[in-house]
Amino acid sequence: MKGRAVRSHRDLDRVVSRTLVASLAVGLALLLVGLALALLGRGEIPSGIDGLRAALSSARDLQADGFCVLGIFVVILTPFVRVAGSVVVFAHERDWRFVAVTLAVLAVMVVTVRLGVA
Amino acid sequence: MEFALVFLVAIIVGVLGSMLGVGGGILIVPLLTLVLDLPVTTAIGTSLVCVVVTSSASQVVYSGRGITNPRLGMLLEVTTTMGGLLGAFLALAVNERFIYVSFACVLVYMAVSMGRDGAGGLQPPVGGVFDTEYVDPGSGETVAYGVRRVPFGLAGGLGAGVVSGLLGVGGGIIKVPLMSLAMGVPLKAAIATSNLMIGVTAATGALVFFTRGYVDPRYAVPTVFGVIVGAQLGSRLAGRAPTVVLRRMFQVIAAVLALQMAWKGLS
Repeated sequence: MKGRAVRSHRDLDRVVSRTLVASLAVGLALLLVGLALALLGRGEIPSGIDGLRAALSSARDLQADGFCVLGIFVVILTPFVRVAGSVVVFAHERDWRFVAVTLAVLAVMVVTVRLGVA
Repeated sequence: MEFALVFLVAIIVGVLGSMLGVGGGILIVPLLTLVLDLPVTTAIGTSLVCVVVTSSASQVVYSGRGITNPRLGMLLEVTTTMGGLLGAFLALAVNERFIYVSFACVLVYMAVSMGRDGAGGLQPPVGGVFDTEYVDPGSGETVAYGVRRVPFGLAGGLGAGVVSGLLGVGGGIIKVPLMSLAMGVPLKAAIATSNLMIGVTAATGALVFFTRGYVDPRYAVPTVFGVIVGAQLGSRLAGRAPTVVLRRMFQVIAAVLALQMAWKGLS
């Protein structure tokens, strides 16, 4: 039983690691594009724009502020992606107790977003 | 010019943080407020984004080694994320003088605790919940342990979360001793698990600041890249400088910053 727990613990560790790398790489790539556009354009980083919809629209028009805001958002979301990935791994292992625990963490994060934009 | 200055400050934070094993937040907030005269809420928002980056990046290294205890981390995250949310809203509601003075107190605590020896010599108990084991990368030995006092850990996690969201730090200064001294987790596993948790807690607080418009790309972008560059430099320099000298250096910096933060809060 303990051996199984240790193996599962290492598998979970690996999934966590890969999810983190992918999400962080996307966030930093967006920030780099934003930084490059800002320095090549006005020569300074914009102070940001209100709302993700405006950021998406700005990024579509290849504007620095859109990429910077989206990059920061993806970077912040990186640990959330990892938590969501853990739900899948625990469900795959049929560890329903930890599926519930992880869903509780995700629920707090969703409440955070709701309260933040309220 | 401002970009270069923020980038330089972040490199210094990254080098020191990496060499001393402390989160960047404890240095970013004082430096951004004292050197660049940023509003404390903007500094906290910026700092939390950097804490997410450094925690995620270092977690990649830790995860491959199997030292992290993801189940324990996830369980404690239930209360630390609640604390992070609470702390972030508290930071936006209270008078900023309270934040400056609280920060000064945390810096003094860090400076004092840096002068003590670690708890690495304690033998972790075997038997408890989440029994697991890992191979110590230093000694090559297999370390088996079980976790104790989970309710106490959950309560402590809430406090660590509040500190993280309120002051823009990772909260490892509470999580590591909580797990290693109170819950029976070996120090290396406690540090790795704390690192995993720090990212989630900081992200909760960062989301509040981001959605309320307190994360300004003009400061967040150069700080993120500066901390990454600094951490790379610091990890290469870490082996060359004596640990005692580094600790003393941190103590002096923390003490000076604590005095300045307290002065700003009380004057």
